[in-house]
Amino acid sequence: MGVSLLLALVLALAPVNAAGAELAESGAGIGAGGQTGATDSGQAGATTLDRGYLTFSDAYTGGSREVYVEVDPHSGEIFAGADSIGAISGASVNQEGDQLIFDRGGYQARVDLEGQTAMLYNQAGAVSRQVFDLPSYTGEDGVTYLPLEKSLYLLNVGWQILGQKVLAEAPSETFWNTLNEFEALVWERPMLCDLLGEGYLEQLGNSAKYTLWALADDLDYRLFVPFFGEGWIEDERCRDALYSLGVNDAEAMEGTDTETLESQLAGLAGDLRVFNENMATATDIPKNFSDLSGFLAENMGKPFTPWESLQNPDVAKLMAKNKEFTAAADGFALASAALNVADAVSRVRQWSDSYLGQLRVLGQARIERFTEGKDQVRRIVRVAQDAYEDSQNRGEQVMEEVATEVRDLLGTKIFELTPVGKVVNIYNLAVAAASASFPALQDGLEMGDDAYEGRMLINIGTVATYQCSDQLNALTSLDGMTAEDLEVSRDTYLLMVRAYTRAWDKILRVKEQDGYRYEGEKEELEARRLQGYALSIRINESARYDNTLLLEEDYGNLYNSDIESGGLREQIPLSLIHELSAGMAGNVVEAGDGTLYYWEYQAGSFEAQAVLGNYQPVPGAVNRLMARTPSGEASVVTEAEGSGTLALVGDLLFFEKPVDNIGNTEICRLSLEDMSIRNLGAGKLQAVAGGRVICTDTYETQIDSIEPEDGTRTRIGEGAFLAVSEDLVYYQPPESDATAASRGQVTLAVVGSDGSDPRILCTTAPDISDGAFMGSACIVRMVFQGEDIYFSYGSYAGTGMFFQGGRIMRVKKDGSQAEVAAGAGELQDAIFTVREDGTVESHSNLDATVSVFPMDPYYAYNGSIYVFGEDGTAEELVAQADYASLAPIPCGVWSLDAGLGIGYAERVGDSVYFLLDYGVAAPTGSVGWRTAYTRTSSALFRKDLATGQVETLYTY
Amino acid sequence: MKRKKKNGWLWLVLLLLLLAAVGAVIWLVKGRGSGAGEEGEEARAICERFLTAYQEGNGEEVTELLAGAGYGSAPVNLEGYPALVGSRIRCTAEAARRQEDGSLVIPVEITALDLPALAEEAEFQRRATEGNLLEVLDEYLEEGKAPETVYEVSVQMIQENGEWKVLMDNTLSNALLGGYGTFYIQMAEEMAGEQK
Repeated sequence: MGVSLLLALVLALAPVNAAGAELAESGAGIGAGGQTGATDSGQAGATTLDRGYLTFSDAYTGGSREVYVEVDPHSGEIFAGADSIGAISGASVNQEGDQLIFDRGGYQARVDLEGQTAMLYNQAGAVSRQVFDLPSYTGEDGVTYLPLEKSLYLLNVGWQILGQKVLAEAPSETFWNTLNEFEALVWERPMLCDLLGEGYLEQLGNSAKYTLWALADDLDYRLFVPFFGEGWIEDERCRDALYSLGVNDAEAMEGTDTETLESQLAGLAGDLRVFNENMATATDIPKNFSDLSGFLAENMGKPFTPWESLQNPDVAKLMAKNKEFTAAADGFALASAALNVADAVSRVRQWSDSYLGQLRVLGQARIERFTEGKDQVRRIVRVAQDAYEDSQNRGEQVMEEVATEVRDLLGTKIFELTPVGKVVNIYNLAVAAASASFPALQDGLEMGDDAYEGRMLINIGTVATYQCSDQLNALTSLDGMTAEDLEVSRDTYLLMVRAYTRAWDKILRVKEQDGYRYEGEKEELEARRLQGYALSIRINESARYDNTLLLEEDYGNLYNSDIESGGLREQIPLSLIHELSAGMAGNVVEAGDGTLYYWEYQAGSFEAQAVLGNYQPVPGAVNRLMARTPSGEASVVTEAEGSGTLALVGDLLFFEKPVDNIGNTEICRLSLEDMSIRNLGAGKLQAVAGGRVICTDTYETQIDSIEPEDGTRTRIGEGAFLAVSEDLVYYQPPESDATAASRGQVTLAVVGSDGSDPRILCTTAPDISDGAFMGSACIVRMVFQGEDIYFSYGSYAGTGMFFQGGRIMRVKKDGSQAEVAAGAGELQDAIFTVREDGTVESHSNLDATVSVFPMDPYYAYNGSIYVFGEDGTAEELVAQADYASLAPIPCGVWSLDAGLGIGYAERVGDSVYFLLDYGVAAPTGSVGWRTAYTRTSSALFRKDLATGQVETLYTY
Repeated sequence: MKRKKKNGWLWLVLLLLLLAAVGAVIWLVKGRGSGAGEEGEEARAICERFLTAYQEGNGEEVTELLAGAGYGSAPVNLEGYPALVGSRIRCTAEAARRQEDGSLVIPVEITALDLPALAEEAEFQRRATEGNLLEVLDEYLEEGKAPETVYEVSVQMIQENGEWKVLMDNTLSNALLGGYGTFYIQMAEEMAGEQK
């Protein structure tokens, strides 16, 4: 990790304040930014970095990001930049004066940078009177740093430690977000004038009176308390209207525009965390429900919300009773179904409790606002109380019946539902199940005429409006709310929204029956009822995150494991802080936290037959991009039309997309954060330098640099890419004198990764040969040692393209002192080693046993794979025995019967990864002496160089 | 005769004392005797501030003094019809009375527009159909042609966080909006009758 103990000591002694306020006043950050140090503060026993990166993984998308953090050496508290915190929590970040505002869909944490405190708001105002201490400081990079865990806490994020990552769940919206709609809803609440409308008054010629009457829509609800109808209400009719609130929302909303509805719910979080693909690769999924909880906890982490818990007895009951389920032999289906069932049961329970809560709320409505028509309000209240009592008396029977109904109604359907995007379906089925469990509702569903019931619902909505307003005022005036406060508020809000929705629905139906009054109003009415319907679903769904809203001013429950009483939040160990990988390119790339990324191919990924086993990737073939943690757990990141080389820079993974079967590719950029893919045009990936991706055109004659974040490409050189060292790009420009090139003239050039400071370092003399039958000379191998660069160069010739011998040059990195280090006399092989004293060890080309291609990182010989080290030495890392399970022949040898080709061999850390393709000869496809082979089997192996153990990662 | 004279003065004094006692009882019953006391005065002052703010169209103060002033931060909107009617109301608040449940009510006489009556006037209807309703209403009010009535309202005062606030009920709402609530219900009943 390159940890400097001296630097650590210096940092530990540095006068850095622990308190955020002091930090802010001093204007200094924690230590010197960008350097690496060590501290053991905060969490005893572990030597950790005092700054570095944490890998956050998103529980919903599976995406990951590297977050730069700094550790307060005194308190051990982790600080992160405001933008990073915003990205994890899904919030935008804006600064207005001394106020830093995190905004997630209208829910805001407003940080007073001067006062070092934070308060919470939504679009209607402060959501509580709590004031949270929140220290901050401005780092040397100009970034505002805040306590990571406390900030996430305020933004309702749950997190847990899973392996080397922090698995975070950021709700897309909570109850506070749904309340953003309150004011607009109330302003547009259904009123009598909406129901009765213009038509009759027009007939009566009373348009002035109508216009006056319609003014009601423009009056502030706090000024105008419309309640009507002495003698209009009878108990029985009132009950019918109330019961209509218990009817399945979907049935009541018959004819709903589902596309519009889905678009309104587009922001809804996936109802299950990322699961399917990740689990599909696991081989040991349990086959029975009793073992499933432990398995999911291990592979997917603990449940963040009660809705994901398999511990619910109703889940077990349902799982046990469902025949389809018990017949499922596939463990993956078992796990997927169990989570679906848990989710659906939670939804049913939530809705059932909520409906009772809505009746209870109405039964407790304050009647003081209705000095006129008080008897009618009393009647509504009494009927609601009766209905509530009736439901309560059913006691424990209710959930039992709910469970049964879920089973019967959902049947096998629940097991087919995919986690994301099916919220509406599950919700409606759940509501159907729940409402079916209240027989009184079924009995009471003898509806009156739509107009009458519409009036009743408007009245109920009016009572609910004031009840809701009062309740929300009370809730947001608290210094800290309880789960019960929240539940009552949700029930009250839901009652209001559903009463409105049903009223709009009735109004629509009344107008449908009377065509001439319906003109021009249909769209608006449908939009309103749809908005209410969608909102009621959102309010219900947001209940799953209620635990994350229970915040304490003194952060008393910052770390919490009981998901019933608070969000799941585990203390982040400082040991997880790591250095960020500078980025790398290859077939297997490693992230800063040790996660490896590579393609998992399948039978159709490459062409079936190829000359000399040079199987080209098939355009359009979809492969799995895999992530493998340091502990060996592999999961699917995504599936894409990618193949071959990858380049990783932070959270951005670049890959090549084959576009034909002759090797042309396009470069694509995958965001590991949100899994979005962007095509950056034709090219081939070569390396990562200075935080940029270095690529070439498909003919590898031009070199571009890609800015990872915005994807812009800049031409930085013309020629053949060679290598990257110390963030500089080395390449070989084309020679203008072709004759000289064939005689051994090559040029070594260097340029910064951003195209800056291009320089020619040296040009060799055209004196290796007379050039006859020679191709242009090229640089074959390079070694960087100290201030020197060594490179071998020469020409290839013949139909087999064999290296014809050359020389080894040494040149200073600044281009000075270029000289022949070996081969001044007898021409040498391209492979050479640079000894520690700077002398070169090489051998005559006549003694060469292999011919390596320019800049290839490995070669095969006698069944072994040799990989070049930093000093140029080729080390035998793979022996034939290591891959005997795939083929009984040595790799790199192409006989008339069979051939075993090397797709790639790359050393990453203490392991070597090698992909081998075994094929049998296919004479019909052969060209001259070049035999064609039909691929029969392939495998990716990993060999642990410390233990010598070989593991097959996958075969195809 | 003298004795008779003396007895007459005694009876007169006793009668005066009796009247004073009755007056004291009435004063106690009507004023301090209701238990409203200083709290009542405080509540009445709040009520008067509220009514003044309403007359002046000061939405922020109205919001501040209104109980359960609506979830959210936006001030009560007094523009349009409420402003036209509100700026012309006249109010008289009496002393607070304590209710059985401990809450306070303040009897208030509000003289304001009688919208149900105005809405029936043929001339108003004619002018309103020819022009902008609110502009016509404003003209009508300016011309002093709009009928007025006296609304007797028991303004309910409740405490929120230790401060007295005005509870907007539908009687107060009706008065402040110049009988709009009554007009609204009458129209609803009229139209419902037509619908049947």
